[in-house]
Amino acid sequence: MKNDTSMESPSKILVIEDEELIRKVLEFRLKKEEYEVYLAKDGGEALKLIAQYRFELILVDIMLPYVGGLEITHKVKSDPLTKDTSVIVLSANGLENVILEAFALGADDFITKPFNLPELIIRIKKHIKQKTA
Amino acid sequence: MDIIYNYMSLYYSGIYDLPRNILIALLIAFFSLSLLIIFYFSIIIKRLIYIFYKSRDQYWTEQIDQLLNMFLSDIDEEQITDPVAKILSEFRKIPLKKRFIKHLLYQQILAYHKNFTGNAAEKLKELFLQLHLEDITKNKLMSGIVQLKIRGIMDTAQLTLTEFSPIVEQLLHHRSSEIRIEAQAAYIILNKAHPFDFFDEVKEPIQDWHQLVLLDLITRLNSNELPNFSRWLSSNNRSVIELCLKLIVHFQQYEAIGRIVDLLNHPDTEIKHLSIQALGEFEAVDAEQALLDCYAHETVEIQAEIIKALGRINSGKQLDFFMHTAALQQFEIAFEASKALIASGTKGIELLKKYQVQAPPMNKQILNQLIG
Repeated sequence: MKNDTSMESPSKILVIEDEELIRKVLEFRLKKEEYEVYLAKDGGEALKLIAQYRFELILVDIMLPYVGGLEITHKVKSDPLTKDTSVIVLSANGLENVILEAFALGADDFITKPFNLPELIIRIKKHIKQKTA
Repeated sequence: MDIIYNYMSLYYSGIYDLPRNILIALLIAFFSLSLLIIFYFSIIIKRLIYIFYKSRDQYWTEQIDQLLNMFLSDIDEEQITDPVAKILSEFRKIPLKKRFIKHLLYQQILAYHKNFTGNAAEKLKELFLQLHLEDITKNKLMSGIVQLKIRGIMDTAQLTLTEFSPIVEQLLHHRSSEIRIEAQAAYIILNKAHPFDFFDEVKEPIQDWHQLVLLDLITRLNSNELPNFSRWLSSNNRSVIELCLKLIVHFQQYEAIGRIVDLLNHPDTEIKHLSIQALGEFEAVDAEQALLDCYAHETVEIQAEIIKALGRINSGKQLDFFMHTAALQQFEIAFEASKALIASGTKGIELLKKYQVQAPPMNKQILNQLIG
């Protein structure tokens, strides 16, 4: 099943991840699902893109150079212009307090690394479907 | 030609006529300049070689990444029954006979494998084996270079290459502590049936930081498959006892309480310390008398730990003992005993309040801090 909004303009997804390999894999997979994918390798780049485009979903790693993933989540969710954007937080640290902090800051979902790729794609589709419904 | 010859001879005879010190200075200047030119030249050559190798590796890494991305995507396609066979034909188009390409592929498959779980990780391992990349792992394991050997052990553990278990087993007692740590961690992952067998034979001390690595690894294992760690509490290696005590507490192996009580007479202070702590954590009422029995002939530090453990056990039978120790003039003991009395409830607090009025300054200060 491809991107549900493929008849209209494709949904925009921002992937914020400092690890190139994960960026590449997610870009490949999400483009295959016919999403419009934007990539940022650090928090600074991500904030510029967030100010420039309206994303349906942001996939953000917690450990990022310059501006951390949780700070980005907080900025997105506290800004009236972007608060409706779904945020999925990725982290290698699956400790309870980290997960709770992410949700407290407004994250819509939390995925622990290493992750199951099909599961992540299903979750992304689910969040975008909820936003576009 | 004659003109040039005449000019040259004039030039050279001119040089020879110069004073000796000037000649030496000129020679040094000439050599320095030559060395500088050679040095800069070698830097340029090195940079060019680096750029060449970098762009070559980048090109092939991109090719490999494209194929691996296709592979990961094929894994989820229901109509592709055997994604490994499909992608293998593509990988065979790459000149894998070239050593550097094979090594790049090795690195990339491991990097992908590290980042994904589930079917993707399993299929990546299958691809790795189909491409016979395990030969590289074996070479690393057999290498004489410590860092390469460690990398080989880590790769073996990451992909659970059980065929290399015997090699890893040989490294369990390696003279290099770094290799030993990795080998022991890998052994736990590889040897599913008896992952802790090496505890029987380990002679070298398992250092604190190594214990942390093993604790982290073991606590992530399925607790249903774990043995009773009290089996190793009689080990001759004190670090094995220490690690097992920590594991017993973590996995709440209550059946080990009897064996822990035996350790209260262990000659090693740290083991005694950990055993008392463990009995406290377990709130082992049955161990109360044993703790009281050894109290009298212990150091102040151990005595304080015993009071702390008795406070955690909180059976309600030791109020007199706590009251007696709370009135002692040793800070650690008085402090722990006062805390134990508070933890025991209203009766303990009342006893402390009564004592607070007539307590000596140090004990009064403790009580003021704890009960106000």
